[in-house]
Amino acid sequence: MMNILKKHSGQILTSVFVAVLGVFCGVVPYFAMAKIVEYIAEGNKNFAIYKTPVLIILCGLLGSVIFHEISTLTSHNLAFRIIEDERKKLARKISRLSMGEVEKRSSGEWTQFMVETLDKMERPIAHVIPEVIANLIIPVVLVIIIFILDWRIGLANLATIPIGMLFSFLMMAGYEEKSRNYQRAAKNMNTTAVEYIRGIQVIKAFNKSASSYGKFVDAVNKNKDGMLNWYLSVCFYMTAAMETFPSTLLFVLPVSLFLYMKGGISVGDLIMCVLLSYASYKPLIKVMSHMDTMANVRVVIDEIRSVMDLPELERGKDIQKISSYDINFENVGFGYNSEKRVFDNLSFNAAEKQLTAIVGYSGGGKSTIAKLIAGYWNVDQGKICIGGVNVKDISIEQNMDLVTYVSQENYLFRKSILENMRFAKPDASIEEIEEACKKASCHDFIMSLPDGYNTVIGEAGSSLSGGERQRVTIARALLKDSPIVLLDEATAYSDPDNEAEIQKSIDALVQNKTVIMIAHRLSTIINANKIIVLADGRIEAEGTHSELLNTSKTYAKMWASHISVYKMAEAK
Amino acid sequence: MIELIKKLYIIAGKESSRISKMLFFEVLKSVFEGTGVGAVMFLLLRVFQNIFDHRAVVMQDIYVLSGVALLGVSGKILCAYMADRNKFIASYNMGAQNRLYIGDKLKRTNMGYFGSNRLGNISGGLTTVIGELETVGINIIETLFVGVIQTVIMALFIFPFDAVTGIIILITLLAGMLSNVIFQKKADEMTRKLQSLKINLNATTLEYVKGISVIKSFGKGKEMIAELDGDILKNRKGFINVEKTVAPAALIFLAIFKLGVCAIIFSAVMRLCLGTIMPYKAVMLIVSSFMVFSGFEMAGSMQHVRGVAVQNLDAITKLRKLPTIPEGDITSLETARADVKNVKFSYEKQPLFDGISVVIPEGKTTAIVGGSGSGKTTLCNLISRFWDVDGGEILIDNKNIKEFKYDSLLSEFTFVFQDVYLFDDTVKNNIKFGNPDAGDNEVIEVAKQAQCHDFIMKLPQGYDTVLQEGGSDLSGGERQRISIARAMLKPSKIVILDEATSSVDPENEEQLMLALNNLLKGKTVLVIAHKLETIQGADQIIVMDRGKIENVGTHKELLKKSDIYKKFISQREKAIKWAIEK
Repeated sequence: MMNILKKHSGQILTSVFVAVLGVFCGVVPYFAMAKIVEYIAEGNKNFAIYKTPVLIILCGLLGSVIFHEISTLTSHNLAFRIIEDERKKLARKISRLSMGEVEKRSSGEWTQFMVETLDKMERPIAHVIPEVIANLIIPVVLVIIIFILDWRIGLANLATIPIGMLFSFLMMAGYEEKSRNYQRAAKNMNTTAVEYIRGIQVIKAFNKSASSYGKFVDAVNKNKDGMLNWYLSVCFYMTAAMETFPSTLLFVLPVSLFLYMKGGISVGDLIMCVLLSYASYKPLIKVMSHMDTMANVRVVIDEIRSVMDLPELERGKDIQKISSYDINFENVGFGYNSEKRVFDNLSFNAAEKQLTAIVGYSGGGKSTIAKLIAGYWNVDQGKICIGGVNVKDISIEQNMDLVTYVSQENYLFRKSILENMRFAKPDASIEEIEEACKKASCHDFIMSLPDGYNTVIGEAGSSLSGGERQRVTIARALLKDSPIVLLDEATAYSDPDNEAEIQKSIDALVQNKTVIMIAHRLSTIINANKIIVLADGRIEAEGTHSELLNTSKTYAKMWASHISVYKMAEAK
Repeated sequence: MIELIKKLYIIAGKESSRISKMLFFEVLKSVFEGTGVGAVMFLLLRVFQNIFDHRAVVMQDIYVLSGVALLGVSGKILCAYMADRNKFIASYNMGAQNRLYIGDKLKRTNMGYFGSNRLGNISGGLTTVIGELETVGINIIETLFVGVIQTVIMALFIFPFDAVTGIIILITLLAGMLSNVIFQKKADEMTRKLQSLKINLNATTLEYVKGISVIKSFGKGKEMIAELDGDILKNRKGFINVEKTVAPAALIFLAIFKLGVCAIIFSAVMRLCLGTIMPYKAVMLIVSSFMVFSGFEMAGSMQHVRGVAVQNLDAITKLRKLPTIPEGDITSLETARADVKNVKFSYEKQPLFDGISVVIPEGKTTAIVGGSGSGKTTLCNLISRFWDVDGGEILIDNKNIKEFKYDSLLSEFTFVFQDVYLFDDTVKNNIKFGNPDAGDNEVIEVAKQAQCHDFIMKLPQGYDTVLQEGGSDLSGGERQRISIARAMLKPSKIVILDEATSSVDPENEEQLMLALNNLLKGKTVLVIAHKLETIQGADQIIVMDRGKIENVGTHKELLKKSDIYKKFISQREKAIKWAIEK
């Protein structure tokens, strides 16, 4: 927080200064008014004498409004600048995180954080800084002036503080325990509500509306009871404290009249003290109304810090010369966290321009291998080499240049198809792009779109089906033309009419490349140069399809069940 | 403001009387606040009587003054307490009632209504928005209301005392309200502008985060950050522009009251010099001028947060209007045969079905095949009343499905979808969701059949492992198998499988298919699968093409009469045999 504020200290000071000026202008009229009352008490009926104080009141009041608005505007400017800075910092931070770290939160959560959560800083910064500081300074100044005018009235002006404190103290008694109770109830209600709503389709489909709703009702009522229990037990003290603090007139009025009666104070001072005392608590009320927003900003700052503290993917800075594109895993150990180890000592080699397939039961770490090569994470132990160079030593940009990762979730931007394609190769000519699209069998359907290659993806009338999107991303990968291609279950889901097209485009993509395929259906990889059988994070066997049928029990079993599904269906 | 209070009363429902009490005590509190001002006046009166009439100030005056001040403060505390108490009870009761009201409505809402966006909105509404209304929103409304009332009461008190000042106050109030209307119009316009700025930034940020892996893999980080930076900058400029537009309006609003204060002082001094009013009266008017408008100004300073209350109320009002579907009262069905008769349906104004008819026979398996967008899933959704048809009718057991009680109708269906939702509960409870009366043995039995037993046993606490975030630590295939186990436990007459085994790994598929065949025995089954070989044995296959039913028949029949089906089969055969070739 301090760092953020330090950078903008100039603007903060301006804003606070103008705010103080504004509050000061708001106080001056009280002095002028006291002067008027004094003149009246003297029996003065000459209008000329009243002109100056009336003018002062006018200027003071208008000044207070004008300065207040200027200060608010300055602090808003400041708040928006801080939010802008933080957003930019976070955007850069995200780009430096490992993909693995990014994927720990959904894209919706990231967006929510970067837009909504950061916006929450506006109110505290824009309103609290100038107003709270200014409104705290003024009462202090006023009380000092009252003390100078008459110390006894000054004391009377402070008399409400101990009473208010007493009420606050009574309010806070047992706060910790009670607040823990209602916070627990509130949290429980939130989780229950979210689950009830998120799961409503399942709940309905299983006819569980009544019982799930019952759980929800229970949580909602417990939350309400918890809140009310706490509030009602402290309500009186809370209100009493809030109302007592500013009730300074309760003591100031009798004390000053008493002093006047005894002749210890002049009419002017008396009027001044009463008016200043009245003016002194008004700013305090404003401060109180901002208390809760102060707490908000802390939460946001903490959340920003927790993101900024996330570990970044550490990679080399330089571009390394890479002469061949075979991939070597040497004693690689990796786990998503210390408990969940994926593999401990994995070694294999995927030769250049060959097709290496990785098969194995689900949960065995097949996809993790692809993600490690694609630079999602760094390995914990051992090393992964491309052409003999440890990937940790090459920059992430170069890593990305070398590798194309085709998975089911390849994203297309809400830009034209042409722009999406040029992501892969900024200077690609139209002919090149069309060529790639023809190879990936998407040229025809692109031409049938309203604006052909200039159609913006995702806009009305141009929504692509899942299979079509997949083919466009494959065309994009074709255009990128990187020496290494990773395929992760790329045809797992699509409609019958799309499946064949996608397969054709994949055939085009893999020519002359080092290919690692995470295989789902064994029949697709029977021609692979090498098949690696992964079981529980270890390599059980490697070889060609026909070799493995004899040497690997797991592979033979998988093949048998693969075949039988189709046989079973046909027999039916 | 009146609109705000109206909306609040609608939402408050049974708590309306408490809201009224709260407002009443707040007004009463203003009266006691006025007593405090009265005490100041009393002091001034005595001082001036002392000066001009030589009436000595005596101890009794001080007692009276103390009494009046004490009465003012204690009255204020008491009223504030009563107001707060009513406010707390009303707002938390109201919050709970609205949560329950909306939660209850959810039970009777079309299944199809719940897109993921809508669900996010609803859960945000039930948690955050209502929570904000309970704590912040109601305070804003209260302050706005009290501020205005306070000023009006002040004006009423002063009128009989001095008509000129009363008129000045009224004129100022009118001018203030007028400028407020203009201010509000501007502010509302700006709020809309802000909304669109926010939506824009949201979209760019979402795109940046969603595409981050693509951005990284094509080394496009700098360009995309520059683009995002541009939108972030635009957002800031837009926000500050809004402030710049609103500030002058706010300035004028506040200045009007300051001018009103000056006018009161000026007229009092003027009349004093002309000798038309007594000195003590002039002093009282001058001193009171500083206090008359403080309530209204307080309300004015709340204007910038007024939007919070408006948004809260609007969001809740909208949720309360959640559409529910009309239902009948039939609770059970004899036969599970479905008749689709001349059904018309449009999807977001895009016509899809223009009068299709087909029969889903009881106890048989009907498969639906078709290209993407042909209407396979929609047809299933209409039969199970996720959506209502626009024309024609759907009969089950020869009765229009609208004549059934919605829950009863749904209870006759079992669904297995491609997207699986699991609860943050134990694995066992997730499976038992299909049938809470099932014993542990039964749960284990279906888990075995659905090929989940083995991986469940590998979880840290086996069946008692609590799933996190809807089972995000399981693979897609594992989640799907649990959902199949859950479905197997549910007793129902009709089963709908929509790509139910799409993410299941090949090694489990064989056993799973056997288990599914078991489950489906004797039931009316509707199945959508792109693995055509798995549905060749179906009793009836419906071939759909762009919202039309092209053909209906068995695999053998279709091979003879349906060109589309033949094309699908040959494509699929090629796809199955495909082996990546280098």
